[in-house]
Amino acid sequence: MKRMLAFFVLVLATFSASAQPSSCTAEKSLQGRTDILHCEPWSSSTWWQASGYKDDGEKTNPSPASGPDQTSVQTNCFAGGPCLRVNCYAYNNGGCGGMLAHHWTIPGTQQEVYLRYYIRMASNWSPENYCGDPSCIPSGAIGENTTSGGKWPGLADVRTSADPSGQCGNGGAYSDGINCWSGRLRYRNCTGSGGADICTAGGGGETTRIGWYWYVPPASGANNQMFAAFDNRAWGTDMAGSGGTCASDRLNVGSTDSDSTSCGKGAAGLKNSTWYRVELRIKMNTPGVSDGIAEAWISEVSSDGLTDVSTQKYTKTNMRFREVGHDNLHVRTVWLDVHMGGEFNGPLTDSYIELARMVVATKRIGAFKASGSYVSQPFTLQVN
Amino acid sequence: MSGNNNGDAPSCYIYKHTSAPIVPQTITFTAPGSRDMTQYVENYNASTMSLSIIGTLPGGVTFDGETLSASGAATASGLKLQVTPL
Repeated sequence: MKRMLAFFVLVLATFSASAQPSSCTAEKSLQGRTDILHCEPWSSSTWWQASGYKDDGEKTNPSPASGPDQTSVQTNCFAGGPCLRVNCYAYNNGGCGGMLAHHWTIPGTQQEVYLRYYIRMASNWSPENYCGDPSCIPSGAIGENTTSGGKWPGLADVRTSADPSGQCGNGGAYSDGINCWSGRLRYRNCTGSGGADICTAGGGGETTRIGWYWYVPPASGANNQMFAAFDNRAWGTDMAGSGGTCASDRLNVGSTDSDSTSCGKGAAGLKNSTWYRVELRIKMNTPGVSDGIAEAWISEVSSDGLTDVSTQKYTKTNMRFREVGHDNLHVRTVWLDVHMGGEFNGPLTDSYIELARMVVATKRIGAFKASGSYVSQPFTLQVN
Repeated sequence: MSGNNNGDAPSCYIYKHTSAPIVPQTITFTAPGSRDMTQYVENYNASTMSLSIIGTLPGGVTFDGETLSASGAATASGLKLQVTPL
């Protein structure tokens, strides 16, 4: 009996110790939290094997991830620690559109997930640095297909051609609210109407706008593959519904040039050679009801990577990700996608982005802190 | 928010927190009543940090991110107050 009890205690202790992944050790502000599902410090050269990443978003029988051949782990690049460099090789250097496309399957059937990561663009980064048309090679110039931009990591529950439903939630296979939805990030240039630079209100030097890249129902072009900017500038964003405001229609996912009526908030644009903290939130809707939530916070990080204050840059509380009768849609994967354009021939010149300190949780994650203490000693509450 | 690339922190970098909340071993009050938990956090700033309780609150006790409120008598032990830098 004592042996059984000891075994039970050992199992319980093991479970408790594994409640937070060991990869979270460096995240001092997360210690003690029980809502942390995954930390990716990108400290191992075989990081994709250690945490069970998958090659794609297949639900039925996903294959373990093979090596991402356009990435490399960098040391001492973010807050004195590692990061993942995702190379964007030029078309004449073996480049292609997709640099990284792994998925990390989120355990459980999560209805609400937060995803945080840090991102930095190379000093020569440009959303216009690619060739979408074979005719621009080799004589093409920066500026071809400039509005298409590309994709960065987000959250999803997609299907591939290996699943019974077939491909859904990417590659032009629209979300029907039954078999898929996806919310990656999309980046694009800062060019607005008449060639105006609409990122200048951010302080100058911005090269890149970002926002959600939605595949959400209905299964039409009205609400799929659309740009939902993390800024209040209307140009290039999608307001396909009625009423003209973010709150008036679930299909209005974009901006209006006003904070009060836009889903996106504030000034546009990110600068090169600067770390930004990105935190995303998805809360699934009641099936068939537009009560889902999408939020995003962005902050510019100080040069030592240790101080920043997040700013809410997107909030929409009438999202619909799934319909009645859906195929157990939830927040199923982190889609670690880094992709230039749709499909094209490659960047014109070598460039890269870097990712650091990714965390997945069921509550607000906040900033990476390598030092400090954030939890009190235990206390007793006595209410008489 | 304005920024720069010369290594200096922009003016909006106002948050710096390195010490854990200091909470008494026992928090006592009478129901119906409440306790402001922000008093236990150095330089508390609602726009740059959020507070949460680690542990299970008893029935009738709620925490709204700043204040513990109770509608009736209750006891709980092993609770912790956590700061999340936003």
